[in-house]
Amino acid sequence: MKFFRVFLIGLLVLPLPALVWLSFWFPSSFPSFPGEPEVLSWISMFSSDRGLLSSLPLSLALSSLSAAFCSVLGFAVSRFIAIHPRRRTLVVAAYFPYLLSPVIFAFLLRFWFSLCGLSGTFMAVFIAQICILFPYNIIVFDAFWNDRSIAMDRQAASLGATLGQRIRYVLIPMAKPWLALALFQSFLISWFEYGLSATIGLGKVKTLTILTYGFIQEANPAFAAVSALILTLPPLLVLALNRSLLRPVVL
Amino acid sequence: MIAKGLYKSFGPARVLHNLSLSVEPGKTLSVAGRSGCGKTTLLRILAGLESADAGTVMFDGADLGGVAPEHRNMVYLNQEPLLFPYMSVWDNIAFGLKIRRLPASEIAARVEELLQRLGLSELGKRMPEQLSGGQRQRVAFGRALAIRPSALLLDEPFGSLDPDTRSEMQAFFLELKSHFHFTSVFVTHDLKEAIRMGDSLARMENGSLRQYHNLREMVSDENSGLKNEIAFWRKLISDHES
Repeated sequence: MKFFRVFLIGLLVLPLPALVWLSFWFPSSFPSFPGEPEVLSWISMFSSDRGLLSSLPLSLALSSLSAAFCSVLGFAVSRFIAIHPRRRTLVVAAYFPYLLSPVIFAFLLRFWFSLCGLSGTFMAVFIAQICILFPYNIIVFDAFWNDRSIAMDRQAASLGATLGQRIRYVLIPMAKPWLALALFQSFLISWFEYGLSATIGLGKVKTLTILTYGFIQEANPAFAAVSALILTLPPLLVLALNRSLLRPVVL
Repeated sequence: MIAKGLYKSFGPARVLHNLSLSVEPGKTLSVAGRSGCGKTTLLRILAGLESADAGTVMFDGADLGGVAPEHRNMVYLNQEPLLFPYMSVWDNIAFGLKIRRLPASEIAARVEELLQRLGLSELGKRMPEQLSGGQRQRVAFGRALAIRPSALLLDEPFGSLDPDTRSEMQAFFLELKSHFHFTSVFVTHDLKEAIRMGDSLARMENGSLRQYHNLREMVSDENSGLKNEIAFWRKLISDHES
């Protein structure tokens, strides 16, 4: 078990040394290894107009907002779906965005956004990501709404708890691991999302993932490595923060 | 408590069919019936957790149609105790009082009194997973009684307990009933339990309910199964004696 854990952590951090080498050593030393380190790529990324200073806060805002919005909305709507007579049909409908390729889905959405004059805006990318994240949250929370959690909800109602009290004092404490999982996964999906954001954003909404991909296409491995390292840090931070929340509640 | 002409279907499945019942204040109506005969649906409709397709439920002269479960002051008790897993025994019992925003001193007094009566004085700080099945069911009763409910709706509450604990809990229920004088509907598939717990008796079959005036009437009903039960025990005794 311990070996498996170490193996998993190893897999997770494996790309990091390569990225660090590329960002510090690659510019001056390639092809010699390891060569002399230099911080030029880092200074250049933060000081010059490479787009990092605007992309980083934009990505953080986009991913945090869309993850929080979809987790809360997904939790509320999944409760409604769980007690609906057509529960299975509604949950199957949530798989619709995943039946299409993200590019096809983005193409369809772009048509509607163009009609509304939204294409190429932050709001358009935000709404497009919700179209992917909201169904995902419905699927995640469907697993939480089993017979027992529904019975707990009914028990609390029978004891006099209003809907608001049930959500606050019964359902949220019980759903804490699911909420943490949904929030974390939604953040990651949004954070690393490329095709949809690029198609809907029309190149005007430059998330950090789009910026990194741009450096890769420019064959600029040093800048791509710096950008990729920064791209990796927030998810690791979120994972560390969520470790305690991901422990399941014994029902 | 009076229910009149209740109907309920789930799709093509007819669960309740023109069902009526009445329970005197402070008394217990035992409803016996096989699994799947609609007992749970009946209790859920009385509790407001499910809506009837037709019919009325009245309590204390008031029509409960459209009244949300949280405003009925009737507690539905499941076969599973359904204690809140992240709350201690004390907090579980206090739950209904806290959400009603009663003064802390009153909450403490009521919970301590109940813990004593439930025989759980030493277990207030324990978590539900640290309790036995019987203890959990006692806490569930305490949590229900703490809010001083108008009625208890009991859905085979001792169904998951072993025979000894079940018998102990039946005695415990009768003791609570004589102290708190609550009105209740006690659903069970066990005829002996139905007779022991109820002040009046009823039997459900295929979504219909027949309420008996007394035990003699239930015994004389061929479909109640009581005659067979009595014959079985008589034969067993006579075989044993011979």
